[in-house]
Amino acid sequence: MNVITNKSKLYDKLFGLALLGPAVLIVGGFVFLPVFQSVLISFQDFKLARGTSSYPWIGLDNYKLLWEQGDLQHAFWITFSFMLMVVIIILVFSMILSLFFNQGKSSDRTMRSLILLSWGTPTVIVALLWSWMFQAQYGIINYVLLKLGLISESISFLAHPDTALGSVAVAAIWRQLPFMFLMLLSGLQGIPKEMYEAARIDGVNSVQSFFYITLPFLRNVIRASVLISIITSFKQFPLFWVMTGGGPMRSTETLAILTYRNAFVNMNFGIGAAVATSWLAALVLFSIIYNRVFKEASY
Amino acid sequence: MKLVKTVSIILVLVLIALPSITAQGQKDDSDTITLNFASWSILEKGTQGYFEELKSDFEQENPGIEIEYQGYPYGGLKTQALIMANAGEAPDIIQSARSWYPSFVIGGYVTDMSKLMGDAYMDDIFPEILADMEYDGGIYGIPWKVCPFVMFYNKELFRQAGLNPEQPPRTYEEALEYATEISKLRDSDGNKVFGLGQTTGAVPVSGGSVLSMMFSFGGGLTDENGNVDIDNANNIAAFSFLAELDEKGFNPEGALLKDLRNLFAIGRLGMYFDQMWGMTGVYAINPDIRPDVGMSNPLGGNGKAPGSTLEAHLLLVSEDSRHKEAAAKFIEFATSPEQISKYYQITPFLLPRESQVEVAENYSDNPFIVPVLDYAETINEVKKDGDMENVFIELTNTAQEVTVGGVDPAKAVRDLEQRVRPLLE
Repeated sequence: MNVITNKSKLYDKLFGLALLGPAVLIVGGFVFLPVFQSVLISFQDFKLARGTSSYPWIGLDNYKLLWEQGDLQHAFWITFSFMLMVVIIILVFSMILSLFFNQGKSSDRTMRSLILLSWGTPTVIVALLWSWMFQAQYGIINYVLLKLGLISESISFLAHPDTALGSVAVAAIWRQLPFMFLMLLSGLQGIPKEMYEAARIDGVNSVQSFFYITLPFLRNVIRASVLISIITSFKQFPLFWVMTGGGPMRSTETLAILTYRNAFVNMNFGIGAAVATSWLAALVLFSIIYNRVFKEASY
Repeated sequence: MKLVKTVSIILVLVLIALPSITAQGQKDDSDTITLNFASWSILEKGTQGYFEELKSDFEQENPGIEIEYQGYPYGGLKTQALIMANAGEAPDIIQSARSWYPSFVIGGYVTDMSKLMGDAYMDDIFPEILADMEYDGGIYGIPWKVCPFVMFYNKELFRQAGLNPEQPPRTYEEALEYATEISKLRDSDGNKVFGLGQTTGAVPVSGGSVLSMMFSFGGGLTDENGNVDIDNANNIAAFSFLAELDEKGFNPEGALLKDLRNLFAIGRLGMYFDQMWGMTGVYAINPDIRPDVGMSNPLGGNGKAPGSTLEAHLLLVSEDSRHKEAAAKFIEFATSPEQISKYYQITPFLLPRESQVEVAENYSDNPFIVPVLDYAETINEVKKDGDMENVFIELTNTAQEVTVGGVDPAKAVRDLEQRVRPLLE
């Protein structure tokens, strides 16, 4: 009897492995292998040239060059500022919106669908749309601001180093906000109503119930959705490429732009991979710290 | 059950036989050469019809050679073609912008056309253009359509500003005076009209335009001996002019060429510098502007002769192409005076070969073209360097520094040399 159990356990394991096999192969082949290859390339002098099949191993030279030119630090700073700006604003606005829509009025459904529209719009289209809106000479934003008397002259939002990053952030917020809004709303709807009722009986006001019931119950949702937003903002490429191309004066040159420029404009895949690897390492490190600091709550 | 079995067996037999039937079909066509032509123009609405006609005309005249277009968007063609070439799948013919040319040539991806096309053909090309194409003793691209960064101006706005529409400015200093008058105008909605547009957007083509301006002020990237020479009085004068334009509000800040085309099309820009084919975009927005558009050669500045980079669409043949002779035949056909005459009617450009000028209708006597017929004299050779696109981006950075950044032109030029020197050396 024991032998049969062991055998069947082995069969179960083999069967399980067979079922997992294709998924492991696909994820390994299409995700981990390219990442591994990219890390390897970052240590090579990998410039695209006809008839070149071997690329010399140059150790940390690509990283050193990027560091000495200051490009990497600059791109990190821009990426981090952008990410911070976008994530904080999205979190605050999503929270306000989700609290508002959680009240359950009949008109909410239509409004909710309208808010989701921007999330369903392709990022490149969002970039083109906002480029036109920010346009200094015929963009609607300048037109409205001028008509309201808030500005006396058109502002070239995307052409000024002081305003370009913020303008791209506005487009990113518009595009990404519905996702966090939806996550927070579904989190809010999962909080038992009895908690609020009991709190009200105990004399708790709405501010206290927000900080002592809503926020603790939303902790896991906030934790996950903020991490997703951080990653989305960190790897944002189309908005920057279409709206500013990294300019003016490199004020929007993020890690994504720096990678693309080196790899696909200069055809220097070694440098491009070095930027991408640094970026990957930073993101992994950031995720580990983030998960440690914001531990999952259990109820 | 029997029926299912029979159908399955027939299906399997058909599937087994299919490849051999297809192979047989291919065998019959084994004498036919298929030339892959990677192009962005094939995707553009305005020129798509011409390209289809070009293909059918060529195939009719050259039985046994077929053209297969591979359409890529302008922004992605260079990368696609290079990656394909590295994967051993290089297109036989590649349409290339002048700014990408060094990447193809220095990487060894394209073949020396002077050997392929023969002396008679090459001698027909204007020497200034050949000089710009030359690399290490070879010519690796055939100029298809060319122009300098010409200046377009709106004759109607000239009239409104009390300027003579038949006498455009010849120098940057004159242009500044004209721009002062034009900038006083307002459009019918009361919007500002800009005097003189110079693109400074962070894209390589804008860098080419900025470099043209530097040439016009007697500057550039190198001296007569080819040594890097950027931090000089002429370049400082060019960037000072750009700063002055911005300070006076005559030039839309950080504009890309498409922004300038839009503004020009809607009558809110008096003069601007562009490639000739940029006018196709202007006419698409506002066809009615056509009679009011004037064109002139690049301007001189600071007492120096007008200068420009060569802006061109080139035809390149892959070094790995197995059909180089056929590709050369196609290029000869596409650039023949007859074909060029047709192409030129669709999108404006200048002709790079003498024989084309002789045959082309509505060219030498076209009042729109006449002011720029001697364009070749304005062409300044640009160093063939794999990092040239980065250099162009750096030039736009400097243009942005002296305009929106408020950096002193002398300092901006000094910094530019520091950043660009390692790229050019």
